[in-house]
Amino acid sequence: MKFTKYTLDNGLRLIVHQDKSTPIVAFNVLYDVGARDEDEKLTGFAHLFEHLMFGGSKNIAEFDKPLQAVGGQNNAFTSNDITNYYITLPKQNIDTAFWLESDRMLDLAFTPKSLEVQRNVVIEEFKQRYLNQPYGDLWLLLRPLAYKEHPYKWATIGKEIKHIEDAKMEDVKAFFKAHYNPNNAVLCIAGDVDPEEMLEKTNYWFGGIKNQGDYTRNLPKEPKQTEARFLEVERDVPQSAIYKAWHMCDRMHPDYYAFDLATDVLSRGNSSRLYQTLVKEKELFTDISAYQMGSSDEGLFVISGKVKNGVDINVANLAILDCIKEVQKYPVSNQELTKVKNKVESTNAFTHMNVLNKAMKLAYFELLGDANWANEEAEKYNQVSIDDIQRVMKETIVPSNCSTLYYKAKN
Amino acid sequence: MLDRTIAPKAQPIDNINFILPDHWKLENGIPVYSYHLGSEDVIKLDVVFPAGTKYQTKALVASTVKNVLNEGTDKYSSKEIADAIDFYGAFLETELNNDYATVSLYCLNKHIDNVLPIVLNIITSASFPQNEIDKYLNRSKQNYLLGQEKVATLSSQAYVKTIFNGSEYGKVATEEDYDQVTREDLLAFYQKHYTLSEATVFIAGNVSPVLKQFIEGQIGQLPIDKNDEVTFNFTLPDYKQVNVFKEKKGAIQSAIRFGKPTIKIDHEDFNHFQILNTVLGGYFGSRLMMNIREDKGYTYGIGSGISSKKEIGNFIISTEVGSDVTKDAIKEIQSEINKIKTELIPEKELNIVKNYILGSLLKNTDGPFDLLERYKTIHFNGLADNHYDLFIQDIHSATPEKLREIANKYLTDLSIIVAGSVDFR
Repeated sequence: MKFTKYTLDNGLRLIVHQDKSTPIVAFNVLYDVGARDEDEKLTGFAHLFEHLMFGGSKNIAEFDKPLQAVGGQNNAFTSNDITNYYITLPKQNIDTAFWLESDRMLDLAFTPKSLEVQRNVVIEEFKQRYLNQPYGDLWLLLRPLAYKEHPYKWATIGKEIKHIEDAKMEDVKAFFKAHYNPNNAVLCIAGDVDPEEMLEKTNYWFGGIKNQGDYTRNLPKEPKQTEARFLEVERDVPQSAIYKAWHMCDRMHPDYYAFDLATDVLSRGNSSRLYQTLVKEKELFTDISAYQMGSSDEGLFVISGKVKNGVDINVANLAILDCIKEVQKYPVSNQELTKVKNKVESTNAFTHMNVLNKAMKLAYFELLGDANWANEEAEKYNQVSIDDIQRVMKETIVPSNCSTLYYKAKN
Repeated sequence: MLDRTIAPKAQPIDNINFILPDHWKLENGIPVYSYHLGSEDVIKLDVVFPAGTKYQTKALVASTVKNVLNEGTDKYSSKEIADAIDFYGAFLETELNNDYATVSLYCLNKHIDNVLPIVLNIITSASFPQNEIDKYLNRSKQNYLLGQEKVATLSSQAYVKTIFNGSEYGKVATEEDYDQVTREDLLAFYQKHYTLSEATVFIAGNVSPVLKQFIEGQIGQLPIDKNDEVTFNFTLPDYKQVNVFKEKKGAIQSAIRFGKPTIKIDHEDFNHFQILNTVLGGYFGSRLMMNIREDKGYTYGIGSGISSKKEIGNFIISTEVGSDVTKDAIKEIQSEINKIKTELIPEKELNIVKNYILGSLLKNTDGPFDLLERYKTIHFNGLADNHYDLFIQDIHSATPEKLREIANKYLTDLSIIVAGSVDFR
């Protein structure tokens, strides 16, 4: 992916990727703020704020309508690390994207009505996705078990509904001033566009926006876990589930790629070890997966599965541990390593079929430090050796570093 | 001086260019449609069969065939298939709806030689080992039970039964059905419906001459039984308007559905109904979203849609709302339906919707994979090749008067289905 990078005087970074094959432009604005930047007493704010960003800005009453009127679509998401806003629209109407995104970076309307309504919408989202859903509260349980100090201990939706109910206008405004600044954002434009022209337009629309706050991220480091943690809950669900989480490195650490491939060896595709052994051969689980959270700060390596009814949950848990021991004791085969690397290669190729995917990826890596890392990733995965996978599994996937949650079905 | 209160001038969306696929027949007569587009060295290859759920005479047979298809053949075990597909970084997906089953392969061009023969072996010689059937049904039954804990699932099941009552589209499996499926059922269905004489192949991506030649050498050389043509007679639903309540004790949200059977995509009113639906609940700025989410805050999301299947269409409004506002939400939905039937849609709103649909169409015909999906719609519904051009014409010419007429014609006798803890009746 070729791109051109510029930095405006106010610190806004602009990445332009030219793809002449499409009539659609992707316009992606990434803010360097996520749930980890929240006050522990005001959790769920980064996400609530994402909703408020659609409630009208300083000079524009409504965000969605003018965009829809020129054939555009948009959405956004918030994670523990970032908040990402994206628009796709016909390239001839790109000025509308500049106009809308720059005005809401400049200032929001902050109407009491918008706050009131979005508070309710987010509360319904909390209910729909986390409470009224089998296993929905799982991350609300597992995060605080695994993290004691770092703000990853709460989920993006927030610790509890009350924090959202109590959100005040002054807190909302303070959050905007601290985080929604040009020097805290990356704009990435991908499509049939000219980079110099995009720079000109970016200067025109965003150049005059001043930085209003000066946030320095200074998060508590998670102390090293020294003994196994365990939590058991009972819920009205049709089958029991096990979740196990181990602390691992951060996103920029060289071992990140070895961890990622280790999870692929364990659970990517039907040929993977956990699926073949625990679902197909031993029939202890009805589904199982291993993944890492991809967090910017030190993340989690997770194995989770739904235990087949009639199977003792402790037996199921031991079977997971056996699979882990296997990888720690015997190196994975060359064939397995090539397999997971081939999967990474093809996933990349399919991802790059779409301008929006490309824009999001470039913006994300720029925020991490350098957009070009998006292009270097393939090689980093390629460099991972059999020894690397065995080493990270041995060093990290150990009982004293593990949090286990038994999510048991009543009866 | 930059005046931020003035919107940039909107440029017309007149660059929608729906390209038709290349089309040819393989040596054995199987039709192929392909888009040779895109910068990456990848392809998606779909083989579509008339093997949808409507053909099954026993519950779960079509879905079990679809899911156990790649769990063993005359040549390979389940594990060997999984190993090979994964090793080459390919993705094998099977999809099923009421009318068709699709086997899709996503693959880097450089590995197609190794992967396609396995996929074809699955299509022609799946063996349906009993132990794999048992394992699948067991896992699937647990998923079914999980679904029964969700108001959204309960409500959708009741919706299907109500709207398609008495027709092949209106059947919903029960827990007991999972114990009734036999290997003989699966083999019979597979032999009858996954037949190459009825198959259609779609390819998108880097469809190079080399690839075409390879496809001819592989798929084009498969032997075909000419004698089994799939015939089918659909029973039309015996629909009447009802209000249905499915109790889920303790639920803190209610899943609400409104709906009825309706016209298909080949009907002359369909395009206008689609535009009307977009105004009502078909996009983020729709009336239902604006009222029930953005004004009242009752829900995280609400939407409406028209689904056109092969035999008949259906209209649906769908949302999950807080239990305490169940009745209020239903009242607001009804008032929006009434409003769109009585009042003319303001020109300004209609223009937004028109441009929104045009923009979506531009986006949804961008790139080989999207174009392929759009073309399938044309192909399987027997629409004219210029269907999307006609749709664009209808978008431009739609008037508020015409849309009100459509609303009164099609938004009548809607059933209301709710799953949750609050009986709304």
